[in-house]
Amino acid sequence: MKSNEAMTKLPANPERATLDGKNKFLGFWFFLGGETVLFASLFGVYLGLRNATNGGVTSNELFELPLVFIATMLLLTSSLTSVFATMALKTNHFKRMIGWFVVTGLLGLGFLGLEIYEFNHYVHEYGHTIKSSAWGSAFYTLVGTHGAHVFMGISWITLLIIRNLRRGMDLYTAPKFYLFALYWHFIDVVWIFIFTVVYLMGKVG
Amino acid sequence: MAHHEGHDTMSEHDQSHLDIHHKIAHEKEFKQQIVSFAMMIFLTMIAFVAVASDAISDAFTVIFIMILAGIQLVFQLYMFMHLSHKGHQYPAWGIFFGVFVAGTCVVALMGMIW
Repeated sequence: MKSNEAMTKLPANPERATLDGKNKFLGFWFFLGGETVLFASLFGVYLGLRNATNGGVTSNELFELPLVFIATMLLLTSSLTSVFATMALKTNHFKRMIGWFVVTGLLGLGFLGLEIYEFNHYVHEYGHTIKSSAWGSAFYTLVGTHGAHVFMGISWITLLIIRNLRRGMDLYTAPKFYLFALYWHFIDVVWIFIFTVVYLMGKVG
Repeated sequence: MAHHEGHDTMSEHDQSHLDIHHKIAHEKEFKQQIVSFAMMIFLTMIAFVAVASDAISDAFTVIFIMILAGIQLVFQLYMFMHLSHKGHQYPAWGIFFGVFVAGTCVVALMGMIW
């Protein structure tokens, strides 16, 4: 019977069932609209400066597609696992939701590890730093800001899980987890454009 | 007491009816999410292959991979972030206003930096 706790008591959209939840939901979407503009400014600068290499290494020489591909797969899969978590949330499976969010966080950690390895590799093997060229500044600011968002997301979900593990699913905790899932998808959206504009276009020349 | 029990049975019946309805909707959504994910993996692979192979011209490759990224954006927003669900009119306004300002911003910065 215990495994059959699903779909009782909670309404169809528990994340928007209270005024508090509605406000958070709307406010968070507006925040994401603002985040889009933040990243757009960094993308615009990157596109303007991507050939300003100051005589140093070029993007075509620097980037290795297999590493970027693995990182992309990690983040894309983590987006799917947070979709599973959201579906568990909507059907009132608290433990299943926590499980999927843990997997999401671990995949995010894997992505972050790859990014740290990548930056370290660029700095020490190629001398490509934030100070070496205008392109270097634009690259580390754009990709680094995205990485900081991933780090922020991992910290957020870790704290959410620890704080709410004993509370279980209700109309108070549902909006919190739902917003995290939205944030995580947004991070994936930004990464889609980073791997396209920065890495793939960097290889094309 | 009897009245209460009767009332409870009624609402339980309604509840289970509603549950079945939700369950079918969720199963349908689950399939759509899996298909979306498979499509996104597929589009990503095409983008990487297009860049890795020399068969296509550079100018066309750039346009092609940008279109693929645009399709993935739509999948993320409408499938994974549920923008297609009811009650998402204001969120849609918020995010698309952001996207509009973002597009203007990218074009302006690209053009302004020499």
